[in-house]
Amino acid sequence: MTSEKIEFKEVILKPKYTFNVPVECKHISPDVFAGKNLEEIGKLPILEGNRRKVLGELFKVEGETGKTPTETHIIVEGDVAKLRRIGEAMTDGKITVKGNVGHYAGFGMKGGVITIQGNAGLWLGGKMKGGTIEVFGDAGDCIGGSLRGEKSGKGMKKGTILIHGNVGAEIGRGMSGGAILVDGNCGPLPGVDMTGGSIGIKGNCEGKPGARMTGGRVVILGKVPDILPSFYIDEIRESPIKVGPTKLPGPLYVFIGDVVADIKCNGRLLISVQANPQLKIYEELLT
Amino acid sequence: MEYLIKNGFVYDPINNVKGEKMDIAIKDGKIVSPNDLSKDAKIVDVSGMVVMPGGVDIHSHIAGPKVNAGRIMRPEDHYKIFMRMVLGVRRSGTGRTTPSTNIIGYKYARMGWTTVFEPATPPLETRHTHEELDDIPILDKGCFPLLDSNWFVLDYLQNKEYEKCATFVGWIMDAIKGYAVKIVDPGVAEAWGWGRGVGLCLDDPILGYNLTPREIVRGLCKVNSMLKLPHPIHVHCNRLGFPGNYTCTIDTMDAVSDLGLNVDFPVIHITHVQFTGYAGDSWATLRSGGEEIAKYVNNHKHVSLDLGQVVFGDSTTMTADAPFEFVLHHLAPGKWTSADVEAETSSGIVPYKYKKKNLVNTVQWCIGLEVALLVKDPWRIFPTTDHPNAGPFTRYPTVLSWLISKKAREKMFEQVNRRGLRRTALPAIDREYDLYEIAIVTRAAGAKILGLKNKGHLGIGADADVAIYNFNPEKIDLSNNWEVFVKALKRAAYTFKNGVMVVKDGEVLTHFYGETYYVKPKIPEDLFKTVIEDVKTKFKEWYSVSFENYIIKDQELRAVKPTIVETALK
Repeated sequence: MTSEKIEFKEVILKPKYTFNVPVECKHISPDVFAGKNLEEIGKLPILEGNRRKVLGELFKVEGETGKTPTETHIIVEGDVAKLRRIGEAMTDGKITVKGNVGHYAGFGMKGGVITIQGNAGLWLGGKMKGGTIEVFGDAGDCIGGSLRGEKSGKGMKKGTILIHGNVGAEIGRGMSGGAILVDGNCGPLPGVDMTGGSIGIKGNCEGKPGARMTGGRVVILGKVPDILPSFYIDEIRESPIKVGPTKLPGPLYVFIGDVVADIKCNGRLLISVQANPQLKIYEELLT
Repeated sequence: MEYLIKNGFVYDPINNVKGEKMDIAIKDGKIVSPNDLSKDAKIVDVSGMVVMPGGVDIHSHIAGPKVNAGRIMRPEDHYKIFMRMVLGVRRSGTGRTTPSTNIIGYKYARMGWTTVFEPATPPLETRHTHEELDDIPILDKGCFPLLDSNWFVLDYLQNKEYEKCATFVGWIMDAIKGYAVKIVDPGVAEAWGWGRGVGLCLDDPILGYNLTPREIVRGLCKVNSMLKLPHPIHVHCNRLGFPGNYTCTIDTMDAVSDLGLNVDFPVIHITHVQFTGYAGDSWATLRSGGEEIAKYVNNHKHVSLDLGQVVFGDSTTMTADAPFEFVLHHLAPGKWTSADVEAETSSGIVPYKYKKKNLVNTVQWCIGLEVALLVKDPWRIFPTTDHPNAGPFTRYPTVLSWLISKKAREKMFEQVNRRGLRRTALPAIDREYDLYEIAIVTRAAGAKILGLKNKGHLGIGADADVAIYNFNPEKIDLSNNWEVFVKALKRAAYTFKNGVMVVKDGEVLTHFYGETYYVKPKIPEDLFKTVIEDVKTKFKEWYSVSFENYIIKDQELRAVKPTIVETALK
């Protein structure tokens, strides 16, 4: 990675108190911070509930900023589970949150790295177009997803989201590219409406994987209660399959679908053979 | 509050005022003579600005169950467009093609429009329409009930009982507070109830009835003239949205030509004519039929048109023409809603995006403008976008700029599909509207065709609805500087509604409610009794609500303004 060679200038944000109401600030992003001194950063607008405030009222700002977004590293120290929209539309640089973070972190980001050492909220990396997000805790629903009502394929386009904990429902909603890798379990409907990209889940899934998908793949290594009737079995794959940075091992049932969404059945659903003895009935169809 | 609007260039077509420098005096919500003002009248100096009557929009889907369904099914339409609340001044709202009620009022007022009519409401669900209309601030409004597939109407027309049909229509206007007869794809909603009716033309039989769409249009036109309703029948033609449908449109206009021989006033209003002006056999060979339609309209005085002009971008098509929405859903896959209203009508909603590089969309864009520019009489043409079917009403300034400036059109020619452009006559048309004609098509003509005597003009006694735009017609050549025109129309310098200043410098100043217009035809008592007995017995069989709950009372509405009509019934 090229980022190792860059000397990062660190800006440290420390919340002055625990936020009780949602705090919204899309200005916490290397693109905005770059080239500004600490005083200017303290004057950036922020919404606490319905009140307009400045960043300096809510956070203690320390450190120094880089001249370009690339060499700016923002560190948020403390639990900011109510802080929303950090790193929105960022193009480069780094954000590290040493605690939990709220909804819409990295929404629509185009590049750079966001590391969250606690849990993340809903729509983490929603509609992102590039970059990497790593979460060491759990994450909420609709990771990398499109917003409600949007057409399929309007979710994340590129980039990688790595989550080491569990995730909620509808991850990779409407995604058209990129990769999401989950070490834990996931809620229902992973990869709903997706048209491309790949989702890997090492844990169990609550059900209905790949509903209405027209492309891309969903790989599940854990247990799946059932497959939607609109999927057909295609083969059993022995070799491992690549999802983002890692390879997930076989053997895997390969289902094609979703025929309800697209008659061409370009979507691929790969489910572990060992963890799912209840899917053995599908093997009869493989003659 | 009294105002004296000084030194503006006044455009008032009904009173034949053509850009003269005049003072307009406002007192108690009416226009008065400047001598009648007291000394504490507030003087508004508008020197170098254009003063027009408040705009009148005759066709804009702003309220009703289908608009609400559109809002529910399009959350993505509401993410980015947001109007902030200002405490004590105005309320908040969201949405572009399906805006929420409050901002409909604000956005119309901001452009200088003050009277808007909702053109399609199923009678059964008109209570909902009125609840929503009541919630729209600033504007005066009204609604047109859908009567073309109503079982009572169809029964009467089938038996050729026109007097009884007129009585029923008169009663329903009063009962549900409607203003004019709306006909959507005559009879097709009934055929669609049987799963048929896609692409039905004027002489095809309607399943379940011994009727054709032609008989329905003619019947309701007769009924309309018997009742002497202020607005002609408002017709959405058959085969809307099918290539080659312009012949059907001309046939529809021709079907009632004998009924409009001895009258000065149009007897049929063809709505969103762009959607029904396609020539060619298929989408691939689509051409413009605008020239033929314009030719017919120029030769016949009994027709008026509104455009349904396409503006490129996102839109939500919503119509009572459910079979067409079914077809459109297959042309543009995605979301689709279809609904049936018991014994009355049906409806459908499909979101659609008009693209500049698309051949069909380019031809559609051309047809609307072609008709508007080729029809010579500006009193019978209305540049609407059929909000939100062909584009939101907020794009009216852009539509008008295409009419006022050939250069504005030529700029669009560079961006649209070349192949599509060659299939129309639009590039060869040189006509440009002047400001007087713009004042006619957006204000005076609308008020005239709706029969609103106090709207659309600035004569003494008229409602004090005034729109003032900040551009100087003497100094600026609009055909070269259409951007100035668009900018001025998007945000009016001042808008007065009923003598209250509602907009200043493009910002809404206050929140209050206008009136709802409806017609109250006078029907002879014995005829009324026989018809209503008949209706009551059938109502029990056909409807899921009781007869008493169907009728909307005056006190259910915020403010009503009945127009009492002397009918020709005996």
